[in-house]
Amino acid sequence: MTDLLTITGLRRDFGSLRAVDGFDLTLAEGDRHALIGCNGAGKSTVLHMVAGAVRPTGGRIAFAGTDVTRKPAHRRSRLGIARTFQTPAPLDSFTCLENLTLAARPHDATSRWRPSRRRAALAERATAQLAALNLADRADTPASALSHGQRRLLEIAMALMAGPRLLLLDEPAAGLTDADMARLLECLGSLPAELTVLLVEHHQDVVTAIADTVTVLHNGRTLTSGTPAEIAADPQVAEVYLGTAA
Amino acid sequence: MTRLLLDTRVWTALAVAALAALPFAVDAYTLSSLSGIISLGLLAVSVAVLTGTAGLPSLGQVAPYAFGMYTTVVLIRAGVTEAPVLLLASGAAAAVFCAVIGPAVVRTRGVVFLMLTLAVGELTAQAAQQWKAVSGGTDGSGRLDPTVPFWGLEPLVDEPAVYWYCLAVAVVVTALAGWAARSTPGSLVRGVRDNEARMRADGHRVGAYLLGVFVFAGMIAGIGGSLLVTSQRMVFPSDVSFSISALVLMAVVIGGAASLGGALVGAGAVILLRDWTAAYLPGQGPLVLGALFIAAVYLMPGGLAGVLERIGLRRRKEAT
Repeated sequence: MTDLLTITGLRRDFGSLRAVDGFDLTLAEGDRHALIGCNGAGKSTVLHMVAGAVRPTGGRIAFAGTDVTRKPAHRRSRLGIARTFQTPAPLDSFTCLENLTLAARPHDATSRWRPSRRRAALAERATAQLAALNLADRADTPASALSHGQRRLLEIAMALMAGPRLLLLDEPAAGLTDADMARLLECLGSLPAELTVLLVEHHQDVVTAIADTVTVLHNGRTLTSGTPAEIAADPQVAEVYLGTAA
Repeated sequence: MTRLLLDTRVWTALAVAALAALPFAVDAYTLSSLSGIISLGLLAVSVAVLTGTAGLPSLGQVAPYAFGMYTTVVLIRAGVTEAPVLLLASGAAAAVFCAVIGPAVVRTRGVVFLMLTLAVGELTAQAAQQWKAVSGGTDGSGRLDPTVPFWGLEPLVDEPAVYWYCLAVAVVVTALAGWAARSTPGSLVRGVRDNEARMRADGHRVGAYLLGVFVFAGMIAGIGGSLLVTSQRMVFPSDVSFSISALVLMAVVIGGAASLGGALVGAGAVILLRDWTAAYLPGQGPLVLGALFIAAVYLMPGGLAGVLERIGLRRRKEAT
């Protein structure tokens, strides 16, 4: 297995606040890794820096052998890094199908010079992706009319349209109902095995269901890492969480 | 839905036909004011493209408007009066100007974008005033030769002829802008308006898309500037002042930012109201316009186009 993502000494300051303070992580192809920690531990900031939405103050991020530390978000997307946002962020004035075809456009290899064939191919892939996430009946519904849970699934579908090698999920279970949660877990369970997933999450159930390994962040540093079971049994982690999650 | 869509087209066609028939109903003075309004209407369409499609309300579209206007002035003085040359050159000059300043401007958003475009507009207006060789300063350009619609045709001297020319150009340009907004590049720009971070995360080159729409909107403004020269045959630096920018942004808000036709109608409404208050309530114009602006923002969030949509004359976005 080759390393897909290598993060070394990652730092980020917001004014005098050091949000991330020397974070290291290496992920191989197919890894399912979760970042957990209290609010303000720096989890989302790490995710933003890997996606290219926030510039690191220091450190290095390498993806598939390329140094992407200074590359803008759209370039990283084209290299194979896809993400979802903490608040689901589909394009509200477009239908679900259009959301997916627009998301796929920068990654589409079919000829630019045959627009009608290109559109048809994109629509076909988008329809299949919607069906895979149980959203087929919503193809022509504007994204603004979807429920919170459906918007979350739609955004995951958009991220998958890029055919990514690394998927970053920022609290995918936040605000979901139990029924939505079941659909989310089903969807994440059916992701291709070679896809690497880096997940920020509070819900212990989701972490246990998806992640092979877990890193606990505390004050911008790695507190410990291990399998979900090891982390759940770690007294240090329980202390950090003040008994709320572990 | 198809029937409703058809309705929109029918209504648009009726409106254009009514406007085209106006020269048979109104006097020459009104017609010449209307020609000037159409020119500002294209400026409003250009602002609506930025505001509605790209989500970038601008106070600086008078800058490319001025570039188009003075390109036409310079060409007419040099003896080039054929409309196709004037329109293409004016649109191109404005587009080039926008391509030069665009990369810096489209990095900003919201209030910063508004202030930066305001500064660009003001600088252009000042430059126009100072560069007397081109603008004639506050004395204006002086009387210019009439525009010739095409090689071999009669020059546009009569008010109806000038009016029909301006109307035809405005209808074609607005239709093109509407088509562009629905095309694939137009969808990409609307996607950026909806959610820029999502578009970046999907691999879209957001900066390039916004630069593209900025240049396109500038070209529309430049063509509008050319129309003003044809309709007034004498232009002044005050034709590109801040009050015009503010008036046009207001026209777009009143007309409904998401609708290009609405922008045209809004420009007509605002300028007719301004001229009407000047005649009947002298000195109270800004007050009336200000009150109208506040009323429009509170009572018609979607503008005139939004009102039409609510009473069912326009296709609803939500309806599927």
